[in-house]
Amino acid sequence: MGSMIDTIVQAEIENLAPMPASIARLAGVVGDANASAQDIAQVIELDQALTANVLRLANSAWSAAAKEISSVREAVLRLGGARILELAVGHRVARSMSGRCDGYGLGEYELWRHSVAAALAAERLDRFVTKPVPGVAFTAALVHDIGKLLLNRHLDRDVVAQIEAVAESEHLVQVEAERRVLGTDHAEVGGVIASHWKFPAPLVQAIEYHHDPDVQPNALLDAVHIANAVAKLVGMGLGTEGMNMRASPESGSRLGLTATGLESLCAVVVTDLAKTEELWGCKRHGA
Amino acid sequence: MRHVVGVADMKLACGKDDVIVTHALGSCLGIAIHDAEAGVGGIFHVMLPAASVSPEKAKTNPFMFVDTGVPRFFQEAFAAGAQKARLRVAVAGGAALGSGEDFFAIGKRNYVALRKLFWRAGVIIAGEDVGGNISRTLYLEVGTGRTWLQSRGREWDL
Repeated sequence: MGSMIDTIVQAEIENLAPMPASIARLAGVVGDANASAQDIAQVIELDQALTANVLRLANSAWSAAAKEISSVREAVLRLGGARILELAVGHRVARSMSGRCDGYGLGEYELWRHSVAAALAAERLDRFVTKPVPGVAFTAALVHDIGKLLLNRHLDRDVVAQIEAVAESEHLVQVEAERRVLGTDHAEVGGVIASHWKFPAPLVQAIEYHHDPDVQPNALLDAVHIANAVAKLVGMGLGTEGMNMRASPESGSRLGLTATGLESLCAVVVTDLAKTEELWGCKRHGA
Repeated sequence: MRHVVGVADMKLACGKDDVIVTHALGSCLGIAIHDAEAGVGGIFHVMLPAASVSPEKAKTNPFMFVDTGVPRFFQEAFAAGAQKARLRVAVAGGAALGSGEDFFAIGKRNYVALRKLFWRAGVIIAGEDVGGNISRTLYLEVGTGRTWLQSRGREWDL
């Protein structure tokens, strides 16, 4: 890590809404293939606030449960651990990610809409690929750009202009230009935040390398990379970056995604996003 | 009045003071049409080239795809009084993700599908700004027919 990132992170990370330890433990146990529903329920039940939230969210429109869910164990069995983690993390970050992000040219709700689109893409991806997508992909995709929230505060007009100029003159994608000017980028900062939240290593790695999936490829990282590309392809959260990011076709082929599958996934995401936005309380685009 | 067109949607307007806008055209295409004599204008924001990837989605929303949406868009403009011979057609968007690898080149595929359709129907594009990797916002002023783009703080006519 460079000195710039140390300075930024030290100064800012305490200001970020903390992720309760119980949610980090939940992420760990959900990501563990050997953990049972009982193990997951136990982690939740140790935290009263989390228990209350899980039950409230499990019975909300977002979970679309047909019958009332009255115990944590029932919630885990009916919805699955991955879904509960989505609810818990989503509830936690929705507020902070809904605001404007001027440094990235993103208005109110735009970063959040991009994040939710990516999360939906990560989850629906399973239908269009041959390789299994880990259940935590939704959560990883939901927070993949969390680093933008923190870096945003360091992106005043001059810095943004510098990044734009470097990207243009040296033909760099946005994230590389960001690194050139700041000495770090939002993906790396996102990884630091996820470690600070004590998220399990695969989740941290998926956030940190979401622009660079070919370095240490794995299904979770590939899913998050493709999910980010899909969110861009459906026009969510373009901002100053626009489409100026590298997308790895290898990531798609490792998962067994075809070009037709990619288009079908875009169609599914844009349709489901409209429903999801209402449930998460986002305003419609331009409304 | 300002009309905002979302993704996979279209709007027509005929008021002198009406402005139609569509935001965040990445790989999506924005198609603006205007008939000065009839005083009718419209914008269509389309996302994918062909309905064959998801026929059931095309049934619920034909405006998601170029091949099912463009004919519908023009038909609705004709029903509102526009005539094909008088239409001014402008096209924007179709950006590429990164260096434009074929796998992700939905923008290019959208544009090719549109050109094919227009060629067969004898529709001529009067102004276009497509490709690259920027995000574009497309405007149409119905009273004057002025069509313009906005991107990263710059603005230019189309």
